[in-house]
Amino acid sequence: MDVIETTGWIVAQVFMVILAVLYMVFAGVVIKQVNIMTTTLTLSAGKMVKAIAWVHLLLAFLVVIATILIL
Amino acid sequence: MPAQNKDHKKKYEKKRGQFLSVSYIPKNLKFENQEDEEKVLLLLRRHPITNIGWIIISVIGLMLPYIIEPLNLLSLLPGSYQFVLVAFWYLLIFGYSLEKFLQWYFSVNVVTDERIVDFDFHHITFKQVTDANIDKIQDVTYKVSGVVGTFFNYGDILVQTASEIPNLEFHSVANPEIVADILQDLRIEEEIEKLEGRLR
Repeated sequence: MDVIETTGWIVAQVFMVILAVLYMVFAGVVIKQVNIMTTTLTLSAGKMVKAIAWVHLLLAFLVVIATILIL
Repeated sequence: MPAQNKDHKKKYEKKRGQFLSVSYIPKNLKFENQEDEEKVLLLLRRHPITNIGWIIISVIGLMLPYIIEPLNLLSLLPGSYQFVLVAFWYLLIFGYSLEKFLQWYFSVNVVTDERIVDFDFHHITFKQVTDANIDKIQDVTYKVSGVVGTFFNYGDILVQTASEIPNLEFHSVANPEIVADILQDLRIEEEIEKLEGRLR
């Protein structure tokens, strides 16, 4: 019974890590897209938008770390 | 140009700001393929009120962990899982809001003294840029519909052109009557320039 339970939690952790990594990839795509947007259009808040996108990627990275270390 | 419209343009000039839906002669705006002598006259984006849907969804999303707390759904999981799930949930809401904001902020219509350009970023991997010269404009019509549109005075502007792309549509633009009028003025100005042989 313990083996099944332990395996279940390992599967859950792997699933969470995969989800978090996929989300981090998405956050990377957002950075790429923001770069395309700011190249296409130079607007006054362009730098701020870029900074927010980088914060988003950083948070996604922290969640990946959290899923690996905490779970 | 009628005096009333000049007043409207003055009003737009005063409203220069980075998050406004309409900017008349915006400062520091440059775009891809802009010619050296080309001056940007108008920057148009959807009326801010059109963002209300995703803002409400985001606010509800932010409150959801507190809403479901009495149901003790998360308490079935160990504390570490609860923490990671909640953190991941807030990250999802952040990503969703960011994506929606980016779509609104960068999907703009630019009117220059030479042409109109439509920048579309419907979703994260989609970019479409369409332009038409002012002298190709055949007709400009606008419509204000719905309760919200009428209340906040925003609507769609349809620009029919003689170029390869027959129609350009500006969606949910604030004060569409002024924008349509400015476009008509530019078209007339361009025709006069053409007649006088001053066209660039």
